[in-house]
Order: sequence, then C-alpha cells, then structure tokens
Amino acid sequence: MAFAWKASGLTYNRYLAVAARVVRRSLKEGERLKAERRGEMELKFAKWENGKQGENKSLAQANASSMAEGAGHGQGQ
Amino acid sequence: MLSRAVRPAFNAAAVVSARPIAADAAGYATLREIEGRLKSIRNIEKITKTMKIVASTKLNRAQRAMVDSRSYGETSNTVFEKAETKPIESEDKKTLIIVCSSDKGLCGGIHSGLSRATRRMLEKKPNSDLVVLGEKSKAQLGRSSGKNIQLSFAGVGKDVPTFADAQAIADQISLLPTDYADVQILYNKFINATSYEATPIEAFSEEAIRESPNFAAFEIDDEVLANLREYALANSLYWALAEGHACEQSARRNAMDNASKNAGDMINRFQILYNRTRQAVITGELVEIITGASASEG
Amino acid sequence: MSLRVAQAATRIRPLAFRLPLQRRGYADPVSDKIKLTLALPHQSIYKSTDVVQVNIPAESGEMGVLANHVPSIEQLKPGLVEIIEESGGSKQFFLSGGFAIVQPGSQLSINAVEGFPLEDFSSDAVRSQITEAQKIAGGSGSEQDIAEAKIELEVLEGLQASLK
Repeated sequence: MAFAWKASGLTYNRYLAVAARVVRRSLKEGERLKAERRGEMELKFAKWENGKQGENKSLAQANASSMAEGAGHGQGQ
Repeated sequence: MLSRAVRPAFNAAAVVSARPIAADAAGYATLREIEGRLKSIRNIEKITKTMKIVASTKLNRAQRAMVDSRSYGETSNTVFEKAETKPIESEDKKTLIIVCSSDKGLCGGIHSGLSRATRRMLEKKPNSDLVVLGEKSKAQLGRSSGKNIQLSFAGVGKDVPTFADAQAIADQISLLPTDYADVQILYNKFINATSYEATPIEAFSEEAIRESPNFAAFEIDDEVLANLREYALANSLYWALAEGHACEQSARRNAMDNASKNAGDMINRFQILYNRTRQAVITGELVEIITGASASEG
Repeated sequence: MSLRVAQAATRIRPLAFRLPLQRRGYADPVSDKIKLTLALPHQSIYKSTDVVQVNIPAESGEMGVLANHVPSIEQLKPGLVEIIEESGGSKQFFLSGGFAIVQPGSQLSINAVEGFPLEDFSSDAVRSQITEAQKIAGGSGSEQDIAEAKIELEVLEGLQASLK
C-alpha cells in the first residue's frame, strides 16, 4: 500500500484536500456553490525566531513549496 | 411642551428682567449640552444595536458549525480514548501549545482568557513551544512570551473557519523540526451563551499512539498510522477553531447587548436630567416675569 | 450492485462471527447491530445510529462491517460507503476520503472530509473534469501538479463508475 502522492511530497492532509476539492467540483450547480466555500483557505503565517516575528507569508504558497522540497524523500510527518 | 420657536421670547424677557442673568444663561447652556449628549448616546445605541443584530445572525451560523465540528472532533478522537492513548512521559521532550484565538476584537475577554491560560501552562513548563492562531493572542503573548513562539497565523476569524484552514495549519505545524512529547490545542470551550472556558484538546504523536496501552487491540496497516495522526491533528484543530469562533461570536453579541443596555440606561438618566433642568429654567423665567410684572405695577 | 454487496460480505473478517454468548433461539435484538457515527466537518450524517451493516471502501480492500467485527483502523479510499439500515433499506454516500475505525463493542466511527448521496453529482461535471485532469496528469507541469491531477483522476473515475 505505497502511496504515490507521498513520494511526490504531498502530505495526507493535502491529499485529502485535493480529493475533497474535486468531489465538490463534481456536484450539481446549487450544491457546488455552497460546498466550494468550504475549500477556501486564505491564511497567512510567520515564523518566529528569538522572540521576533518574521515576515507574514501566504500559507498556501509556503505549504506548496515545502511539499515540492519534500518530493522524492517520501517525506511525511 | 414649549416649542423652540417660543423660547427666544422667554429669552428676551430674561434679558429685560432686572434679576442677574448668569444663572439662567448657565441653565440654557446645560440644557443644550444635555441635548447634545443625548443625541450622541442615541447614535451610539443605534450602532451597538445594529452590531448586536449582525453578531446574532453570525452567531446562529457559528453555533451550527460548532455543533457539527464538535461531533466530528469527538468521533475522530474516539479511537485514542479506546486505545487509552497518553502523551509521552519524557523529561527531555518539549510540549507544543497551539493557541486558537482570532484576529478580531470587540468581544470581551475572550482572547485574554486564552493568553492567561497559556501563561499558566508556561509557568509549569517554561520551555514549551507556542503556535498562535489569530492576531489578538499573538499581540498579548508576543509581549510576555515571544521567545516561546515558533509560528503565528493571521487571517483567522473573518468567517466560520474552514476544514481547509485546519488542514493547512496542521501541515505547517507538522514541519516544525522538534519532536514533541505532547501537543495541547488550547481553545475556548463553549459552556453556555454567557460563559466559555480556555480548555486544551490533546493531540498525539505517532509514538504516543503506537505506545497506547490498548493499541494492540486494533488491526492497522503500519503505513496508515502517520496519515491517521496527521488527519487527527487537522480534525482537532478544526473543532477547536470552530468552537472558539462560536464563543467569540457569542461574546461579541453579549458585548454589544451590554453596550446597548448601558446606552439605554444613560439615555433614561439624561432624559430625566434634561426634563428637570428644563423645568427649572421655565420656573426661573416665570418667577422673573411675575417679579417684573409686579415691579412695574408698583 | 447486488454483486458488490455479495463480494463485500465475503470479505467480512472471521471474528465477525464470534458473537458473545447468547441464549439459544431468538437473538437479542441489540447484539446484532452496529452503532454507526459518520461525521463530516460540517455535518453529522449518522450519530451513533444502530445499523445492520456498513460496507466501506478501505485502502486494504472493500470491507463489510457487521456487529462484533474485530477492532480495526482503516484508511478510506475516495468511494462509496453503503449503509444497510435497521429497516432493511440501504443508503449510499460518496466519501472523498478519511478514516473508518471499528471500535471495540460494535461501534463504527467514520470521519470523512466531504460526503454526498449520488444524486447530488453531475455526470457532466465529472466527465469534463476527467478530460482536464488527464491533460495535467500527462503534461509537463510540476511533480506536485501531476500528483494532484492523478489524485483527482482516481476520485473522478470512482465517481463515474458509481454514477453508472
């Protein structure tokens, strides 16, 4: 049961989010519009070092690039 | 009631009267001042009442989301209860505290309650790491415990949180380099419409799950345990965010309700003061007119 | 469909038949039921409801869960879950993925991210997305884009088969 997505650096939560997104997009119009709001994510985040906050960055972008870095290592926490 | 148009006539009468006018002038100034205050308090009352209606509408949605999220989170955690999972007891491994606050204020002591509870936890385990969701607790904890903070998240609390939010947060938290003995998700637990309490939900490491006393009772494919742990963290985070959000909306509604009530009380008091002052002014003027009339007769 | 049910039933694990000691004759009406909780983040579909059998699309294979099934932690593939209710009727939901956990004491907990009855889906939307995802999966995008398109294809093909 090796997971192909894991080898590409995706986390299980990302795998689930992608599967949920495509399920929502497959719904009939009315249901789809309501459901798609549940996939929205616009958070920002910052790393802290020694009591100092770093720059606020887009969480979606940061997650995507860390998964790209994790590719090939079968990384998954 | 005397109309405004009539007043100048009284004014003129006051000027021609023989009595000193200082007291009356003060009476008029006070009357106008009181009128001004009344007007501005009425405006404030209108605003807080509108904000209360908005918060009530949002509260209904937030509470529905809370009920579903709680049942989702409890369902997800049932397996750890049955397996009797406990955090790893380890002197050299740290605790991670995830504080579920939000970006928005005007909701009473909801965020400071979380920050206080966090500081109490830090007193027991001063080397714990912090992840802070929401700008409010970040500002408070940044001052007192900045050195413990590893990550802070912004954009929390604009609307009912989404599960996608919780998943993205869980992914970033999983990237932290430290292997924690124990993860505590601190959120505001909804007790009733007027009270809430900072409460932790436990999230477990893979090691802790594997070492659960009753874990052997379950059949499991080794490969899926890491996925279960990742998913369970997102599930608990979602529950904490959704319930915290409902507490916040409830507190905001109550804050606006109290503000409207206070404004109502003040309006009543100022109305009484206004009526009394006006009565005093009229009485004063009548006295003057009568005095003037009797003087001219004499 | 009847074929699928039969198939699922044959995969029931041996311990499913290790019922607790019972009086001979008519079985206790409670003991042969399983308490199902099926929860999505935004909706509780079943909340500790007594049902007869639940067929789940586990990564380890299709599985039929009856009362007294051995405790088990199963990752779910995106796919159809079928619930045979006490009345004898059955309900189906397409789940986007999650976990099903057979707890001790005939209790089944399922967490999934999205779940809908089949009538909520649009075959047209599924078809057009398959074309789109195939393009990306066979294209020259990043490794992650291709991996995501493959996840989408797995879900969409499952949906298409269920909708037929």
